[in-house]
Amino acid sequence: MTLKHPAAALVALALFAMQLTACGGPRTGRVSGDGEVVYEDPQAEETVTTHWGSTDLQTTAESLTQSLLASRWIKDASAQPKIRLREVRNFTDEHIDTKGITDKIRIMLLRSGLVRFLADDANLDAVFAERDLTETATRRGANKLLADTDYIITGTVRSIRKRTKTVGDVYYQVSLELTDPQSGEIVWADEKEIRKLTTKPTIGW
Amino acid sequence: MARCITATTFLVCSLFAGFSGGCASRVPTDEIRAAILSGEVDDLEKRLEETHEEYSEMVTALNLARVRQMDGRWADSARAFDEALAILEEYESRALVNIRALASGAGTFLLSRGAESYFGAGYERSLLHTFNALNYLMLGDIPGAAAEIRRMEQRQAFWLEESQARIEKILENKEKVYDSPEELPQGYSMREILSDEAVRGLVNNYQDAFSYALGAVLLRLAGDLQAAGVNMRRAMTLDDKAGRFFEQAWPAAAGGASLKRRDVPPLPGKRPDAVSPAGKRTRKRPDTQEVTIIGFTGLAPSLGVENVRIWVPVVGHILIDLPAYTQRAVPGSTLLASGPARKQIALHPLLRTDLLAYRTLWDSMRAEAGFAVSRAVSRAGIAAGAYLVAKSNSATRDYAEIIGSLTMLFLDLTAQSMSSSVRNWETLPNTGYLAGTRVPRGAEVTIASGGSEQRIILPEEAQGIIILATEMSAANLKVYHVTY
Repeated sequence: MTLKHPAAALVALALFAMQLTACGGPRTGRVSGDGEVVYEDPQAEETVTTHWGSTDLQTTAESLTQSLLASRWIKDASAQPKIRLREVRNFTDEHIDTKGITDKIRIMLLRSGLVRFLADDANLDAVFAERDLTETATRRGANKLLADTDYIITGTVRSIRKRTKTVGDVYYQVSLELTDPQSGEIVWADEKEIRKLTTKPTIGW
Repeated sequence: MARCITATTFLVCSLFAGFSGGCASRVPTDEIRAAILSGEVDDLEKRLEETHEEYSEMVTALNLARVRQMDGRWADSARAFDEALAILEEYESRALVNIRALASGAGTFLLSRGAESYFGAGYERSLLHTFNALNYLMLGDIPGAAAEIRRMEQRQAFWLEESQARIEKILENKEKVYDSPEELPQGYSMREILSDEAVRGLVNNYQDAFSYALGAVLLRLAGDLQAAGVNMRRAMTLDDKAGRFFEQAWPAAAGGASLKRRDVPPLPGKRPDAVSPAGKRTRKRPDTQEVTIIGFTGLAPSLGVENVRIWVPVVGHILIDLPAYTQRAVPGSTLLASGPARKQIALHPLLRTDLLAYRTLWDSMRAEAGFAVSRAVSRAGIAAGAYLVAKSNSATRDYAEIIGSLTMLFLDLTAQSMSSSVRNWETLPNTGYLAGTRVPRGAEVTIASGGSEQRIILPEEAQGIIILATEMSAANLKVYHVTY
């Protein structure tokens, strides 16, 4: 089946183009049945897209935890300060689970043994439910510890995204604050900045 | 020679068969529209799920997401929107010069408008996020809704870069034809619609006041006052009706340069400010509650292909295939809202998807017309080539005219078959309304459309309520609400 003539060749080319593009073109967004699953190192650098990812979560938590532990409010405290995690607010254009950031920071801080944590918004209801069950045996007034917070941690995640035809750039700023709830004084604050750049290839599929 | 013709005919036949078979299994536009307008979407949902499972295209994902949303399946709808977004982002990350775009361009230039894959027009890409924000809102996830609104803003900025440069390039390079819609071919059905003042009066083809006004409402709830203020001003710049909405909803804020902190209600479940000096402040509970109504009526127009006869110098009259909204928008019934004592709450129509669709078509008309002529000429050229080859060979000379005609017929049928894949996001509503007011605590709010009416008694403990009302048919009004 040879295509010797220009007309025939043109038809073949055009029909090939149609085959590639008609009815919506190539299928996307599905993992084929031949796809394989492998375990990877959870600490390995993840660069699948410019969106917020596991590496960003890990480096942010590590950086801010170390900074907080090095602050005199924690390092030089005479007794383990009692901390409550409050909300880290998401001001980005992504659906970032900011609880993931605070959970990781809490785990790292607790591992250090330098601080004590009180129940936060997420598990306070469970604490009260448990307490209600034992209300007859324990007076609420005796549970002063729960309300006796030395510091609270709050924060924000913000992003700036820019794009041209060939380059995509995203900048994340994660900031945390340690505040004395009695005085309202912000005693410590730090930030973690992340910038990711992606470039489009000139030629490709 | 005979082998050449056989090869060509074989290719044309097999590919025509392949295309017609492949495209036929999509849910036809007529059926989608009939199901939505009847208010019965259960079967449609199943069929769209099957279609999307098979094709995984952006348009199938968008249609599925919207139908699920109409049915109140917020999480499932958000998942389908995410799939549509993943497809769009994959498209946007492709190489500058890529084989798929070249093939698509060649197909569009030579054979059929249907060779161009759908990745959404500017307003559709933007509305993807606006409608997904509604899913997060109805799930009670205000930060999630705010993230979608920020994506909507980003998307509009990206589209500006993508479309503006293209439009300017077309204007520079093309001859001065179709300077106005009145110059379009007489037989083209879109001629009068594109000449409509409402279409030509739009600031551009991708920005809508509804998305920005809704964005202001949601960002305010998310506590991002600065961004809420920016969205409010953008909405008011785009449409005077947005100004009337804000005057009604936030009378204190709309007149000033920025929103005021005291206008921001706390988030759902939010406890008193975490950072507050010693000494508790007691907040007086207001006697009124906020009511925001988001309403959708009608159905957007559906894109197809229309054959139009035009006159080309030297060649004479030729038949070209132009994209056209072959199924017009359905305006729907008038949505009405009222508060206590049947006092009417004004609903402001801030979204008109038909106008955005028509304006998008007009902005791309020069390029579309150029491609349509080239397609007509290339099809005629191929058929003429087949005729000349047949004529030059003694074995096929007697059948040259038949071979030429058959080649033309095959090409036309193939192009026509491919045209069925020219689609748009056809499950969008035609009109989107917003209303905002305050009513006495625990009051009753009534939403009515056509013959349907639904009443909601405001829960007294809530700061406010957001009501989402979708009119699917005169007798079928779906009303959902979320409190904060």
